[in-house]
Amino acid sequence: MQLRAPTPPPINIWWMRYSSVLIGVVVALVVLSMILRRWVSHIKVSAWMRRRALGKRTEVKLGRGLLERSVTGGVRFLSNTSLVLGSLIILTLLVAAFTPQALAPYEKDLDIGRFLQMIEGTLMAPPIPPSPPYPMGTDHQGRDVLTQVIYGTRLTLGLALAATLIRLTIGVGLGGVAGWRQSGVSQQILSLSAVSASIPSLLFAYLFIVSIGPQQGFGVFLLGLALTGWAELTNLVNAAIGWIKAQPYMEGARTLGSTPGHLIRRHVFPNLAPQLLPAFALELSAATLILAELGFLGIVFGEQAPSSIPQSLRVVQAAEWGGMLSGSRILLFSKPWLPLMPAMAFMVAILGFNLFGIGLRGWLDPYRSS
Amino acid sequence: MLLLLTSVAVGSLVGVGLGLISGLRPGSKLAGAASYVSFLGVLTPSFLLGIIVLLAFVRYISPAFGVRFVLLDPTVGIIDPRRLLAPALVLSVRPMAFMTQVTIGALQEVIHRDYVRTAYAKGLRYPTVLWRHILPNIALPMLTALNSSFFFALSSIFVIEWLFNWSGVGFYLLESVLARDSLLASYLLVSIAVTLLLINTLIKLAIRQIDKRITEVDAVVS
Repeated sequence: MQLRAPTPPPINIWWMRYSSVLIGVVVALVVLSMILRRWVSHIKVSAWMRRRALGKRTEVKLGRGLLERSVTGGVRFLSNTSLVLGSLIILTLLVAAFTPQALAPYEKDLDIGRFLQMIEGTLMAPPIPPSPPYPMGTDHQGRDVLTQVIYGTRLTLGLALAATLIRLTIGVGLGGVAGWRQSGVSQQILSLSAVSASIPSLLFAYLFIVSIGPQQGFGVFLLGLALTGWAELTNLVNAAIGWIKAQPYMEGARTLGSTPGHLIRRHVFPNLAPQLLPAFALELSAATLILAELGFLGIVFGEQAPSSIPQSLRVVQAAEWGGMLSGSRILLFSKPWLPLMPAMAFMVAILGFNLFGIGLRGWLDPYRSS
Repeated sequence: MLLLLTSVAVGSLVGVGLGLISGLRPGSKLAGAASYVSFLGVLTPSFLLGIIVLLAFVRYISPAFGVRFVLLDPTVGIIDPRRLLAPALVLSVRPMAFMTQVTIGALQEVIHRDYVRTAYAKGLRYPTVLWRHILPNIALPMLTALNSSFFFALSSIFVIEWLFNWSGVGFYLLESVLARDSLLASYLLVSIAVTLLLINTLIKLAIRQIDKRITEVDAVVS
C-alpha cells in the first residue's frame, strides 16, 4: 500500500491570475503621473493649461464645459503622484475591508493547511513558509496568512478610524473653542493640549489598556488610542481659526451683520476643511501605527485566553493584524514570515494614509504647498 | 537611556549632514533621493525596521564579521558595541529622517535670503558664508527639531528595547505594567519625565544663548 500525502487544495485568487496586469496598471499610473507633473510644472505648457492644471483660479469663466472640467480635473489629480498612489492603496484597503471574500483565497479561519502536504515536491507540516498555494505562508493552526490579513483589514482599520474620529472630535472641538473665543478658556485649553502633547501616545495606550484589561473589548482600545494625540489637531485648528478670523472677508461679513452661526458655517468651516482633511489622514496613520506597536507588544483586541499562557499559544478570536503580530517575536528567526507579513500590511496601510494626506494637501491647497 | 542618547546623537548628526548636503544643492539627484528616503524613514514603523535589522544582523552581518551571537544576550555589558549597534541604528532612523527634512526646509529658506547674497557679493568664500551666515541661522529650527527627535525616539524606545531584549527603562516599564507593579512603574515614569524635562531645559537654554532676542522660549519649543 502506498501512502499519498494530500496535495494542497486549489485556490481561487482571481486577482493573482491578473497580478501582472494589475501591477502594470499601477506602474503605468505612477509613471504617467510623474510625467504629467514634470510636464505641468516645468515645460512650457500653454499658460491657460498650466493655470488650470495647477488650480490657480485667476479668471472666473462661467459655464465651463464638462469635458474641459473633467480634463483639467483629471490632469490635476493624475499629476499628484502621492495622491494617486495613496488613493490606490486606500481603495485596495477599502475593498479588503468591505468585501474580503472577493479577495481572500480561502475562507476565514479555515485551517486548510492543517495536514501534511506535498508542496513543490516536499512534504510539509503546518507552519508552511510562503509557497504558491499559500502566498504568505500559514500559521501554526494551518490558516493561510494572506486570508487572515485580508479578513483582518476591517477590524484593524475600523478601530483606527474610530479612534481617529474621536481624536478629531476632541481636537476640533477644543481647538475651535480656543480659537473662536480668545479668552482665559483658550489659554487653559492650549495648556491642556500642551500637556497632552507631551505624553507619548503608545505609552499612554499601553498603560490604559493593560490597567483596565484588553479583554474588556472595543471601548478600552478606543479610549486608549483616542485620549492622547489630539493635541496637534487642537493646535492646528486654533491657529487656523485665528488666521481666518483676521481675514478681511470675516470683517466684511461681520459688518454686514452675520450671526456667529452663519460666520462659522459660511466662512470658517469652508476655509478650515482643506487643512483638516490632510491632518485627518495623517492622524489616521498615527493611530494605525500605535495599533501596530500595541499588537507587537502583545496587547491585542479580542483576546479571550488569560495572559498566563505563552503568547505564541494564545488563541486570538478576532482576525486582526495586531493579533497576528502578537507573540511572533520569538518566532522571528525560525518563522520570519509570521511577523513580517502583518507588519508589511501595517506598513502599506500607514504609507497609503500618509501619501494620501500629503497628496490631498497639495490637491486642496496648491498655493501653500508650492 | 544610553540607547536613547546614542541613537539621537547618531541620528541628528547624520541627519544634519544629509540635510546639509542635499539642502545646499537643491535639485540635484542626491537631494531628491534624500527627500524620498527621509519621507520613508519618518513613517516606517520602528518595529518593522527593528525586525528587518534584527534578522539582517543575526543572519548575515554578524556571521560575516565573525561576531558571536550576543545581540540578544542580556549578560553582555551594555556598552558593548556588538549589542549597542543594532538597536541604536533602528532608533536613530526616525530622528535622522526628521532632522534631514527640517534641515532641508530651513536651508531652503535661508540660502535665498538677502544677507547670504550680500555675503557672496562681498567676495567671501563659500566656507566662510556657510559657517558665518548660513549655519547660525538654521540653528534655531534644528534645535527645535532636536527636541522633537528626542520625543520621537522616546515613543518608539519601548518597542525597540522589548524587541532587542535590552534591559532599559522602557523594557522594565512594560514589564512592571504587566506585573501590576505600580510603584516601579511610577518611578520609571517619573525618571523618564525628568530626563525629558532636563533635555528640554538644556535645549531651551541653548536656544536662548543662540538668539538673545527670544524671551518666550515656550512659544518656540512646543
